Amino acid sequence: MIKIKIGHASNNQVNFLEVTGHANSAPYGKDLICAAVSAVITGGFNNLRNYKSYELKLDEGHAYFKSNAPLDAHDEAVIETIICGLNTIRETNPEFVEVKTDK
Amino acid sequence: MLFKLNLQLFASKKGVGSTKNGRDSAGRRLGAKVADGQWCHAGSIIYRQRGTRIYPGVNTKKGKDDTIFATCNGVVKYERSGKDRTVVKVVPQE
Repeated sequence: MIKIKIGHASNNQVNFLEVTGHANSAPYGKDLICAAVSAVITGGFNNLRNYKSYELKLDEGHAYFKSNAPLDAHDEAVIETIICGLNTIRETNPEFVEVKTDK
Repeated sequence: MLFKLNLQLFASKKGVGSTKNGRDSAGRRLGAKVADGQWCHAGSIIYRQRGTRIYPGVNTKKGKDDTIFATCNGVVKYERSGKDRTVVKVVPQE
């Protein structure tokens, strides 16, 4: 099960995103759920402009994003797109992806 | 590009191969069936073995599977013979 945690700042902006775990929906190399989640996150993280000012990590089974300052419009849209993509995956595969938000 | 794409980032652990081993035959319960100093009937099995770990002596015989058995009633004796050979015999006793 892939677990996604989303945190918001006081101004309602997303300032925390953590993805952990393994989909286990198919053997290694054939896991489509994992491939979808990996692509959404990798593509999104690569599109963040001010990546130097965030805590950003992408390892096997663990993706981590944390911002201590408000995001600019571009990066906010990127993070929202990542979350929208992950929610889309969760909707069709709830047994493999779980999303928890602090709101 | 900040991160290279690894499509199996959140996949289960790398496929662990399976082994083709894991089979074994049942134990053959070899070894001594009558201890030294024990009385036994004629014909009773004294020692089960593969090859001649123990050699037949007086009043004993070796079967085709190297089993050693008594040829008369009596007490079993295991003795050393030569540098590294063990011989079993039966001392007749009614």
